[in-house]
Amino acid sequence: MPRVLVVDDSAVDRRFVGGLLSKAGRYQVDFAEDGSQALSQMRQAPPDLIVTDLQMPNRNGLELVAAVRMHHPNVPIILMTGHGSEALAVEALQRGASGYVPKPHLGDRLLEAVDEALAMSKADRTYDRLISCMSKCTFAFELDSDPALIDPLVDLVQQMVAGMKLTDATGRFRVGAALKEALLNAVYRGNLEISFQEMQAARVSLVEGGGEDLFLKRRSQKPYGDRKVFVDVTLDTGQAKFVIRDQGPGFDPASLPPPGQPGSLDPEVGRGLVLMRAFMDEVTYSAGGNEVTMIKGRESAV
Amino acid sequence: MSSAPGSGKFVRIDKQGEAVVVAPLFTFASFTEADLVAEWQAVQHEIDAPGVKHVIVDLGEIPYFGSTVLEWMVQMWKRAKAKGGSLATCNCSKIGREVLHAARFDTLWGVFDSRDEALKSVGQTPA
Repeated sequence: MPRVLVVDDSAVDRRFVGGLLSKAGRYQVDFAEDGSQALSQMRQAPPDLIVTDLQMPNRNGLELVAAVRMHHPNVPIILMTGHGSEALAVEALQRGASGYVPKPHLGDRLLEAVDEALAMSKADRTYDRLISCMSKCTFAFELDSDPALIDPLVDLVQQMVAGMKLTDATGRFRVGAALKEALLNAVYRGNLEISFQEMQAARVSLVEGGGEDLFLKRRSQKPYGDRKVFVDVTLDTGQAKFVIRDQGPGFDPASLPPPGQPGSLDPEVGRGLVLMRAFMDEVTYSAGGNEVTMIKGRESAV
Repeated sequence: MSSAPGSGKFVRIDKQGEAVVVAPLFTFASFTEADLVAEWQAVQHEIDAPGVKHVIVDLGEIPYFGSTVLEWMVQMWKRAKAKGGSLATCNCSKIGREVLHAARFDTLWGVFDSRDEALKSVGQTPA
């Protein structure tokens, strides 16, 4: 029987929602009084689904959604929204909540929303099982120099890396962080040729008013705007390999300090590279400097 | 005394005594600089306000972050330092701590489990 955790600081509302769910006879129902208590209970045993109020003390519904997405990404969350909290609900959906039911409509809509979210969650788990059986996967992208494409690509890779059990949850974020840095470098430093100092100066002038967005300007200019970022990803049961190539002028990789050397902290060299080296097992540049290969081996404990 | 100067699309800002608490809500990579300007101005305004010295960066809303968020943190730290204050971080995920450690910022900034601990580290009384 699926376990549903009802989170609400109002005892009356908890009883009401718990009653609705219990009467249906197909869920086991637990309760928490706020987001902090819910997370504490989840550390012991995560539920199959959460139904939560938005406005609560000690971690509201939004904060709960963020924390659950971080620590229990497979647990769906349904929000109960009161009058006037529609904007918050939209924000919660953007952060990963599965859906919401206005409080005045709980009686006629909650069970349907719960069943739907549980069915989707079950389908996701079946999909996860299928991905875990995958032995090799390769994909290639030819991206415009648009940072808006970076997060979705990183997200996709993280899902695949975790699905193929190459890393644990933390390792998945390590891979994501390193990949994101490599892509940002390819877009900004590589294709758009925006140096750290130029970025800093443009940021200051933007914040102080009157400045123009250097990123948008470069994207609209030739040759910068026409350049692509090529991403090849190969995942197999032993490792994840990423090759990222930009069409910028490149640089001399011999100028990079060895990993762990103090020079790595110089912003010009890039904190991004420091993170790439910290989170990948191997990071190597092509002789021309505009292609980086990163390898992350399978984590043994997974 | 705690107050809530505001919550934007990218950051939430709270005030606690002499400290401004800034909570990034996204990892920022997908947004252009122009997107972030208005909220960055609001953050700067709060840090520059009279009576404010310290910055607490609450990282509890983002699972991990990279060089973009680090760079914003450096900017906040510099502003706080110029006023004789300091910067501390809190609610950092495991990977977030690794990011701070890899960039060696954990030797410059306090890294605390909770917002209250971070506030106490800069001499402020939690709400």
